[in-house]
Amino acid sequence: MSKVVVVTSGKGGVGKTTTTANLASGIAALGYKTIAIDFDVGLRNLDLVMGCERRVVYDLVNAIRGEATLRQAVIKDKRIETLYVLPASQTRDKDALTLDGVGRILDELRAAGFEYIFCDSPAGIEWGAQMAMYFADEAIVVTNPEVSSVRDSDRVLGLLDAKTRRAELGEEAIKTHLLLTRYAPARVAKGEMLAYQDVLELLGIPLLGVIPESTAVLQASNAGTPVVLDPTSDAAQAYLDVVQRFLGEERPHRFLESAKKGFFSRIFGGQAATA
Amino acid sequence: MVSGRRGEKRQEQQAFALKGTMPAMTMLCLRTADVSAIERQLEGHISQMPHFFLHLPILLDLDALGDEPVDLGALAGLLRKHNLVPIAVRNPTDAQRERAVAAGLGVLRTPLTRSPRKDAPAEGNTPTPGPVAVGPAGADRGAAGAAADRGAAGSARRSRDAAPAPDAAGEPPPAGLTLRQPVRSGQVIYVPHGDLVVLSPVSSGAELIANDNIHVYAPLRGRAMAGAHNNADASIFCMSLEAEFVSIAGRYLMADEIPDEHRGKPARISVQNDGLVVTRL
Ligand SMILES: Nc1ncnc2c1ncn2[C@@H]1O[C@H](COP(=O)(O)OP(=O)(O)OP(=O)(O)O)[C@@H](O)[C@H]1O
Ligand SMILES: [Mg+2]
Repeated sequence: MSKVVVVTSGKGGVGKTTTTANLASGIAALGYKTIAIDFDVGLRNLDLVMGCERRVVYDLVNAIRGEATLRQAVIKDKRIETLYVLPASQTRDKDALTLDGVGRILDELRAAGFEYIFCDSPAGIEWGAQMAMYFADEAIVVTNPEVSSVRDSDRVLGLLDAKTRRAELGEEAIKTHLLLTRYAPARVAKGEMLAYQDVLELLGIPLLGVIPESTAVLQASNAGTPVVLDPTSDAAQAYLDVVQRFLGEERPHRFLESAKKGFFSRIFGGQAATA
Repeated sequence: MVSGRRGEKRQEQQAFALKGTMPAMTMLCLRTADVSAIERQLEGHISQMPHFFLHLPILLDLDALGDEPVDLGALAGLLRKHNLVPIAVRNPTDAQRERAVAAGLGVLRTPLTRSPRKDAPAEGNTPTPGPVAVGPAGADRGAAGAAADRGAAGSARRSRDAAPAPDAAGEPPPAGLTLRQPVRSGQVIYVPHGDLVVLSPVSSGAELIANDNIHVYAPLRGRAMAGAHNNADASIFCMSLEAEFVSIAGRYLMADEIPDEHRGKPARISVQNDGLVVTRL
């Protein structure tokens, strides 16, 4: 059985690519055959975050157009045996994606035995984002604790309900999960950010996890090593929890309150979370 | 054609039956004969509530114009261009009547409201055809419009399916729509006949439109327009009033105008003395 999971948000820069890389890595590390597909055609960066940018030869668009076989386009991760990446094209635009083409690629991946297929959506709610969500079985809606991000997530939830294959066929609705990222409890306490309870109340979907704001994430992205691979930071811990919850395990939410120690240093340091 | 039981045959072959009916309709009460001024205002309304206006039958009330010549041909063309369906004029002078006939419009002389239930306070004077959303349009129209529209079309279609055609006796169609799922930002739910009942939250940026009452058994955070075809008897009910905009039969309150003591509380909004009042439920 394979599951197609879209990581989406509406608003840009909230942490979709970071989440895709970490979830795919975390799940693959447990032995599931997993692939992460970059739908952000024209702005590819999942390959960078996952550290395989130097091995990109063909991409999603090539595979859709039959310019390369899927086997040629898919990149095998060097660290995790069961992890693969299908990069986006840097030179095309999102119109190169077709419903038929994407559907065919996903069918091939299912047939090849992939258990988890993560689709990293571009920002927005236009064509590219709709292609990424259309075939999904589950959706992870990545949201930052601010009003505009919540509004966009809400809008995306409406699209997941209306403009996807499951909706059009009248099948069981896409299962949706809320992932709150870049959460800074100290700033929540000062009223600069929405509290997770407020976001939950506004969006009304189950909370998959809260990822704290962490400098470790940026460092990991730059190094091309998803944070989950070095579980010393709290962001890594939070993503590992998310992996377990996504697989069905119950785990208490962590990193919701600012730690007592270091509270002032964090505020004065301008950083809301420890590394 | 074939002889025989002619009476029966004719009965079977009747292509239609004639019935009188008196549906609620949206009326454009003209205050100027300047067609381009009318177009400007119309475009404003349509851009705010495209679904409400789509294929909407329209009566033109000429009462306020008197004999002032108005190019009804151009006006009818303008309405059709915007996907409205001009039907007839009301209260024309003799000169206007000729223009209406020439423009292919019907003519209604008698007051429309005959039903005793409606002690309509001079219906013809109500200046606004249906709700007029003067507020800021739902946060992110435009770019997102197309997608949202498609999403909404599904709901609108569903609501139309739920509204069968008038039955043989000319009764108003029993209808209405009950939604279980949340109404999300960018979605528009339009119920042309009857009540709209929503059992889940209505997000900020979502829009509800119904000709009769709107009930939201959850927080109402978006826009709600009840009595959309000028039904001032309609109310809006919600379990938690957090709306961005509420309107009934053309009267409206912006978020800022909703009294603080009702924010976040169960409330009813209804028409009183030509304005909207909010009462605690
Ligand atoms: N938990 C976090 N703490 C700190 N920084 C983060 C966190 N999550 C993401 N970021 C940073 O935010 C930026 C945007 O993240 P990312 O690229 O994952 O977002 P995105 O939603 O994929 O953006 P886009 O919409 O452009 O595709 C990156 O610089 C990333 O390192
Ligand atoms: Mg991205």
